[in-house]
Amino acid sequence: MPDEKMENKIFDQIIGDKLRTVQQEGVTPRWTKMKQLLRANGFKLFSTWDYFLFGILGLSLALNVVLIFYKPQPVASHLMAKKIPGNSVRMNTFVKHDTLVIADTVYEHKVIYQKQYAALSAKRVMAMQNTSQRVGGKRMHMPESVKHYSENNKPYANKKTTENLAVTQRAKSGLIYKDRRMYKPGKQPGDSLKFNVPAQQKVGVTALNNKKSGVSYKKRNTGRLRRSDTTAKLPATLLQNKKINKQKKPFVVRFKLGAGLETAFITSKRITGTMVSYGIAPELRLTKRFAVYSGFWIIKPHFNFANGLLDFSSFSDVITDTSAVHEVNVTGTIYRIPLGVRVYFPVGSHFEISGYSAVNYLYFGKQTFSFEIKNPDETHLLVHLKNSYSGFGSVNFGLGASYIWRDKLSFSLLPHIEIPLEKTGAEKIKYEYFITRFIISWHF
Amino acid sequence: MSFVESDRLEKIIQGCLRKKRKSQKQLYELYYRFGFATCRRYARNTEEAEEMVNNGFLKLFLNIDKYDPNLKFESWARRVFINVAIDYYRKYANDFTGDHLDLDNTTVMLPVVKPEILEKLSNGVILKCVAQLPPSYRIAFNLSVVEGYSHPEIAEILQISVGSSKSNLSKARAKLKTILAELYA
Repeated sequence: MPDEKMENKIFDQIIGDKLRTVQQEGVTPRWTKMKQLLRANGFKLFSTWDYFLFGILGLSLALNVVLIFYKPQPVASHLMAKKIPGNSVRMNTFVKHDTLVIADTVYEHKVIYQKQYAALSAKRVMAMQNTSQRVGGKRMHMPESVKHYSENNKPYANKKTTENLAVTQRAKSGLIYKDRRMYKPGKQPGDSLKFNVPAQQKVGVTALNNKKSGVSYKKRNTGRLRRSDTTAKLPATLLQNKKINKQKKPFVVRFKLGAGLETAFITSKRITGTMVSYGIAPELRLTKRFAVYSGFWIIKPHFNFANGLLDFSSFSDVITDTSAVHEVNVTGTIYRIPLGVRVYFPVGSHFEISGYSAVNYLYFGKQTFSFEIKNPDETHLLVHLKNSYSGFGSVNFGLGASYIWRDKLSFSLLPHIEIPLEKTGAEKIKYEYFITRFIISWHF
Repeated sequence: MSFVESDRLEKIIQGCLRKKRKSQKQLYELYYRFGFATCRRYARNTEEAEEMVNNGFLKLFLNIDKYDPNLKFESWARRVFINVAIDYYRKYANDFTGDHLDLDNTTVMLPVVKPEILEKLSNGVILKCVAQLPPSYRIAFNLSVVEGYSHPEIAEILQISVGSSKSNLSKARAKLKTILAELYA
């Protein structure tokens, strides 16, 4: 037995030594297989921190891609298709990158009228009340609306009534006057503008941009204005001009629509402008200086304050745009007025407009405009507009930028035109006030 | 025996503790052969050994926090691989249908393999011969002869009695001698 034990011991030692020194040279690690095993057993491919970084990176990338390739949709396009009855200032303005595009083709007829009247002096307009009479040796065509009004002493019963009435009133009273430019060179966005426009300047309206837009008032042998000739190319043509796009300094865009006048100063990043609203009688012009830094700002409330009450009767053409519902505060009462509502208000009215800016680039904000109509004397109306803004800017992950926007708005009022109320045919309506739909977008 | 400088190994282990994939890969590549050599002794073939090695590394990564830096990493890793090999044996015990030797009922005289002959045999041949042993014998033989465990330790590891451990070792040795004798017959 001892021999056997000894033999086993030797056997074990030799075998053990040989087994311990077995070389595994041909063996290659298979990491892929191991990795799969690790993953299957809950080992994450990346750490939480890695995933967080990837997330941030992905978000940033996605946002930058959006910012690079995103082109703002013409927000107003769906509005443009809607013809707004009445004398609203029919303008759709939106900025596509550095180009202001104005599309107004659907309102061509209005421009035609405007330009027709522009060619008429006050005396001629007055004389037009007699149908198709010769004025200054030339036979003039009288628009149906004017004819209707002169015969019936009430507005022409179609959708253009208000417009026609307004035009007629001005025509009758000879109070079509030339607009003064409201652009002051050298002004910066945020500056307030003051305008000195003499009241009751009795000059003929000159259609703006006639030369540039190619409008011509060709006379035929009959001496009548050809409507086709006066079909104006709208300022959109002008604005789409490459020269303007290339312009580095702020450029002025002037366009005339209806009885309103709008001027916008546009830089690559900021838009400032002057907005003019108007009323039936007496004509009220309101200019507004504005600066918009971000997002879309859409204002198109038409307020109708009849005897201090909101008149919702003219809701016929409410533009459904939930992105900009405005509130009007009249003597402490807040009325929520959808876009497109027409509001009349008397002198002395005080109200506020507040609305949430449309969201663009994560921008949120609430704007409140308050202004009061004062009539310190018989010839001037003053509108004081105070703007308060509460909101916050966006944190743009893509650009890593954060900004807070605050802005002030100031309104000034042009002298109004004196027209006795009884002559307007709308005794209860003292003023009609419009705030033009103004759509502005700002881009980086 | 050390495969890597201690500083580097420490860094790798630290990375493994933070579950860094890169560190895991480094450790895997450094100790794969070591693990394979350990597991190969307990496996029937290389495929089994590979599976054992990967399972061993998985267990190693899962329990790396239990590693005591005062001890030698190789020793700890070897123990892990051996345990994995034993677990593997337990898991697939039913699949092992190796022909067990019933020495009690046999009167066959065991062949004598002379040490000179053994010395001449290559390591690979011996490994292949050991691989032919039934799993229970192979494990007992490896634990005793290669790893140097005593019978009580083997009995504890394999959760068998000391007598069974002795019996398995004895049978393993006898079987191995038979295999070697047949090889040189």
